[in-house]
Amino acid sequence: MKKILVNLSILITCLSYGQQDLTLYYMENVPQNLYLNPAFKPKAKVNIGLPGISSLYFDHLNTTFTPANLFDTRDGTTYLAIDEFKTKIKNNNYLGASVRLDLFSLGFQIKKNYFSFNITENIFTRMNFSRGFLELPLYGNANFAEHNGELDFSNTGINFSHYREFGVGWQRQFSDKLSLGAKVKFLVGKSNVWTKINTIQLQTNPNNYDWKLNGEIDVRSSGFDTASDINNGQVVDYLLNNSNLGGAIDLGITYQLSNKINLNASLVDVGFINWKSNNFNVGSSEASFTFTGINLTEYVNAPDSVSNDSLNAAVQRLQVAFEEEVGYSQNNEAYIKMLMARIHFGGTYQLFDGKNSSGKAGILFQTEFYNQLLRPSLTLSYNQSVGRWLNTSISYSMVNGGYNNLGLGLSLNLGPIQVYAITDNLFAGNLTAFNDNGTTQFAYPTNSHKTHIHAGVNLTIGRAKRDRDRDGVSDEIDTCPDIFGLEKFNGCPDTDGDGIEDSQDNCPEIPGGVNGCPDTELKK
Amino acid sequence: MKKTIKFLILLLLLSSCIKEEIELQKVNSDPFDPSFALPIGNVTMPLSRLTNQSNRFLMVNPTTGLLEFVFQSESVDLRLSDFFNIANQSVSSSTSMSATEVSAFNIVPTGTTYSFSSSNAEAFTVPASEQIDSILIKNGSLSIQVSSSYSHDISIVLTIPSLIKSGRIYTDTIPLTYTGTTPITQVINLSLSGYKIDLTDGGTTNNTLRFNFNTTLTKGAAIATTAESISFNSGFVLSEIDIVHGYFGNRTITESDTVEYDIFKNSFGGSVSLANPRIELELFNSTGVTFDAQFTSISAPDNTVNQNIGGPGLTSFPTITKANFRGDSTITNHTIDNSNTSPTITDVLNEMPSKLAFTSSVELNPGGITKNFFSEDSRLWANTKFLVPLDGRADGFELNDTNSTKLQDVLGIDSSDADNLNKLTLRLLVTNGIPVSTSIQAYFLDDNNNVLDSLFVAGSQEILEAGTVNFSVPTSDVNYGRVTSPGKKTVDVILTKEQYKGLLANNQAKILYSAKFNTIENAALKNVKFFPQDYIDIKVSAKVDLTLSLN
Repeated sequence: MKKILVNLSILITCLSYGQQDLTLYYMENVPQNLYLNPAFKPKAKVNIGLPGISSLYFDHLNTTFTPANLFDTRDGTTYLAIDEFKTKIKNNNYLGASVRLDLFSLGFQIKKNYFSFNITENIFTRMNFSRGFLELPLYGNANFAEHNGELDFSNTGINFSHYREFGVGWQRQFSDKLSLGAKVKFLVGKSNVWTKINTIQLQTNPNNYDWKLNGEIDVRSSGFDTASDINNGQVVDYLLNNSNLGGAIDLGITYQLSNKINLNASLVDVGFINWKSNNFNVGSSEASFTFTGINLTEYVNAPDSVSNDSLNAAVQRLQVAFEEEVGYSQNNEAYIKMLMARIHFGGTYQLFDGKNSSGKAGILFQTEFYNQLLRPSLTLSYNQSVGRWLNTSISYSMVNGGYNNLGLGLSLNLGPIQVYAITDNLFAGNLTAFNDNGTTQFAYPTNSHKTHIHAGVNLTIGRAKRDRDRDGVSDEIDTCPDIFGLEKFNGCPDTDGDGIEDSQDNCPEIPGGVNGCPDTELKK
Repeated sequence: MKKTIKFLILLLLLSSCIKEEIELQKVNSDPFDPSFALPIGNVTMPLSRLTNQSNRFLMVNPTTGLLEFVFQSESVDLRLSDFFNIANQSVSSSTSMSATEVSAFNIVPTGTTYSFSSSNAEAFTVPASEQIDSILIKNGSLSIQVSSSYSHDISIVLTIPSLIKSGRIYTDTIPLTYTGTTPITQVINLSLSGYKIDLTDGGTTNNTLRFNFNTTLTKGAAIATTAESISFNSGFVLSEIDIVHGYFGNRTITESDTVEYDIFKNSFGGSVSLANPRIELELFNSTGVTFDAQFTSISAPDNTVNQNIGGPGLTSFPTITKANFRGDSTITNHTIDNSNTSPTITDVLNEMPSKLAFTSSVELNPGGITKNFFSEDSRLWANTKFLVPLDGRADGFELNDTNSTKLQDVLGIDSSDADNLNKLTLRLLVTNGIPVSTSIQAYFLDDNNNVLDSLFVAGSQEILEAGTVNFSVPTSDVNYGRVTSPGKKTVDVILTKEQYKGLLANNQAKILYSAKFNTIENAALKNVKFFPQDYIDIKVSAKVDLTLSLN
């Protein structure tokens, strides 16, 4: 126990920057939780995602500042707290947002198999600003007392992708304990910007103010010529561009360890897109370049009539020297960009399972792969169903270096219509409005580094009736609702498998033909 | 169940309120102080790249390898019109019958012709004591007015042996018809272009025109008398002369010229001593006249101590020999330097004059009577080079210059931007490969030349530290006084916000630059030398300290 607690505390201190649908994961009523673990089996036999409104996902991430720590009020005046902001800057500072929209989704059960289809639009943006990048406007590059003239811009960059996903999923209950699932996704990329490598550092010499740039940079982009079509109103051309193809796979498993304990794990978004349409890539080799200024000798000595030409020539020579020294290159080669894969691992514990409600506690470890690092999060949740019409979930997550992420999920089943709304950070709804002459221009979460919301409307048909012991016989007709049994015995067990229900079997644990007992027993 | 729902609803309500509002227009900020530094550029200035100007250029002496300023000008430019200017002139002549001829004429019957001849030599007026043999006319005219007092028809054959064109002597027949009154007049006009006026009268003399008359009268009713005659008035207009032959006499012509030099332009103080300046003269003579020339004076009129360069160098010119024929020319060279002057050129230059006045005299035919020629394209002229080797010493030599420069235009920072400026630092990293240390100061002036501020607080600041100079070899060695290793110095030129805003508020419009130069070891009277490879390298970097806020 002690070892577990120590390991847990170590893990907690390493937590940062995990994300995405932590509360949804254990909301069994919402079929969209298949996107997180394809081994989950939806409650309804048929689930239809209404086009455009079945799954609207938005998240936003800012690891560095919030209005609460960026602004303060003194003597009735609002101040941008620069000094406070400086203390919040980390070595890597993330700012991003993601949007996912299901254009269409469908799932249906055939015997023990569940098949699902979805078309989903994904837009993912994440920008990373290094400490040096943010400190540059605040300190400048010549604040030698503060940073000795060294600014580290490495890892500053952007990761932006817009792609469309066509998914085909399959889930099967192999036994009363084991369920497996998989989804294959065909991906069509629309546009991408990717800072693949950035190890740039700037050193300013305190004696002569020369700049020395070290490092390497590699930035790829794709699809932006067609993206400009959007500006020209040619949205259809952009959306129908299908030159950038890729694929991904999701895998999942659930295992019922006991009546109360379920373990589960999944690996999602393991895939890539091959970007090759309207590519523009720029980069350098690992190099060092020292900028000592422009050689103005020719310019100073040139006659006035040609001095501007001389200056232009000097600048051009500098540019050429720079490009040669750093190995600058640009091309339109295709490149492969991996998706940001995630691992889920967790378990639930059935706290109670009554006639009209049930409660389940869950724990979820989620890790995403980003920038060649694992970025884990930990979520504790409590999920309660009320009858068949209400499913709620409350979660607490340690994520993004924040420990105040309280999540809430609600799904209402109004006949076949299911409406759900989920957030991983309830207090992100605590907003600060930024006004211009009294008119709100935009609102921003006051205290939260992460905003998440996922909502939608589904059609759910053939939702399974309550079956506490999960023996396939609904509680309504199960004579033994709390004991796993057989359908032919109305849900009651036959432990020894002798064809005689336990309640009628004199020897319930020994197979026998005479009132459930073997002949040998009678002879005795 | 109900409690659960109520709790959830409350939670939702509490979490989804806009609790804070921030008015963007009213946000202030704490100030923050970024500093930005960047290298701007560098300039390497080898002395060989000092710019040439229209009347001054820099060259390398092929013997010593030293840099020399060369001021070049043309002096003493004498042409034909300076020596020989023939006014338009008139020559008169006449012919008449003697008493015997009159008697003989009077007894011949009416209608009978009677002829008589005469030949006259007339003087051709020259401006001075020239003895002219011939003049070839390029452009000119001759007008002969003939007037007869004879009451008879006359035909005159006029021949002027002095007037020759293409080998042919001028001759003309002039009819004079008596119509009852006298005098009978006739005007003959002749273009003289291409004519040669031979004033030697057949090689026997000079300045002489010969006229030959052969007159034929046709006897009329009147009686002739000895009082009657025929007169000829010749008006010569010599617009352009091609060439004149003869002897132009022995006389002296004086020329004066003043040449300005910008070596010491904008000098303001201190002292300079330049070793071995010299004046090199090239005298070109394409005339057929021998000359003697000299400078009667070379002076610096602004000097107070040594105004005049003296000594034999000014007068000991070699004789300027004449050209032998048209198209030929001779070159005569003469050098004036410290070895043939006293006071020397150095003595005069030490007072840093801005100009020198030259007065020269030229004597024609110093050797006596001889054959000369002077054509329209021949001339006597002198190419004067004033050479100042960059070899010497300077002690506090100060140059000042003022130009209209607004600091705001240069920096692009107006008053509102200046509120964010704490300090601007220009860092100069100077590598000085010349044997001169330089201190500078800059004064910021308004339109009325009032001093508003200065760049450095206390006087000038040395920005060029002189290079190390070789004084270990003999002074005659070409490398004596030569830089062996450059001096290095880092100087920060600082402009604070208060300074800058003060200049803007007071309408700074001009900058007065003051630079003071000292050659190394000038107190020990050691000269230093400047070679084309000597250089100055200045690297400029800038650092801007700002204070920013949203207030």
